[in-house]
Amino acid sequence: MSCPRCAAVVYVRAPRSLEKTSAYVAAAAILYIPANVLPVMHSSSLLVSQDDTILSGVVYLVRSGSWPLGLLVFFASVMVPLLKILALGLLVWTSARRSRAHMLARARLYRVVEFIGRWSMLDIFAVTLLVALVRMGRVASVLPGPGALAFATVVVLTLLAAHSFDPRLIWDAADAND
Amino acid sequence: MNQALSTTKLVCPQCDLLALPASLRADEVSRCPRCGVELDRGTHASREAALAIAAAAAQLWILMNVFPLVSLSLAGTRRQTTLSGAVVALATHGMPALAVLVFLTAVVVPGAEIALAFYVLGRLQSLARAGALGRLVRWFRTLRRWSMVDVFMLGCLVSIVKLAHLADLVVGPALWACAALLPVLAFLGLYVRPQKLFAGSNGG
Repeated sequence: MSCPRCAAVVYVRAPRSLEKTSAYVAAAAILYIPANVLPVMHSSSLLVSQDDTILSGVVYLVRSGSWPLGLLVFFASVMVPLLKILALGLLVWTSARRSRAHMLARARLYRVVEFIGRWSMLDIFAVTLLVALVRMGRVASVLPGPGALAFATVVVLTLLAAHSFDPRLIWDAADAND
Repeated sequence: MNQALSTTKLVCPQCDLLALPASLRADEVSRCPRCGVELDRGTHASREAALAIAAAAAQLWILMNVFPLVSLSLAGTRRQTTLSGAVVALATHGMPALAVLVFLTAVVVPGAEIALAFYVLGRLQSLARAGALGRLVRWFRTLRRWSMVDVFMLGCLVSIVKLAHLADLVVGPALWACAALLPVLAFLGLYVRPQKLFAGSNGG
């Protein structure tokens, strides 16, 4: 059945929403570890060469005096994906159990997850610019590390997970006994 | 299509509640009484204003992609990069997948979003008559989900701060254009919505 106005396929509920969301969340959770453990960036100069993970990048920002930015990156790159994974996991679990507890809070949680997800791409764009700018051969250069790819995948997976979750499932328990 | 507002009902997209739509003044927001999701937002804007905004967005997008983002001076060498140059750098340094993702979210999707807004606003009446309007607005929403100009802007700021300690940096025109594009895109999203466009196409 499709909408007469915009031709979108209309479902009572998004098909297999909980299964799809669970799959995306599980995959994101698995990749979250290499994303934070593997280096996202490899910088080298004549004297020293170092690998940077997301966390070491945060530490660098804090130590060099830009602690607000360090806090921002920590929140956007470390906390947000983790919280999204946990929040979506909770949403899937409570919806599957048809829980009637705190439905409004859960609906709000979903909206926060939806809104905030894209900001985790922050570090990816930062690495992109660094790689492009610091290209002076052996004098100074920055290369992207495998952690960046893992991290980007985690962000994309959590975005897909949030989109595949049908928030109407939260309220189904309310309508069931009316 | 031309139903009186009082007989048209809305279904909340996030909790399935039936509600009656409200006519909103500018700066008013209507929310679902049960789950609180925003249903509609009032705005003064006219179709002409939205078209002008879309034109501004298009120009800013072009500036953002043509000019350099930042230029860096280190050890006597000056280097600068455009957005596409940065994408190519990622690709040639062993991360083509990442390059594609950045290219899509920072260049292609925002560009498509603007082009689509232009097209829809420019041909609003004929599209509405042909019944093609809804589909295009749905596409616009999908594009907006993957348009990350604002995150890109902040990412650039982070890397600028990281580099500022080590080298001489000059912010390029592309980054200013990017900053200017943010409120413009926000406004565009306010107008290119089903609630606004279908009301507009009926009333003109």
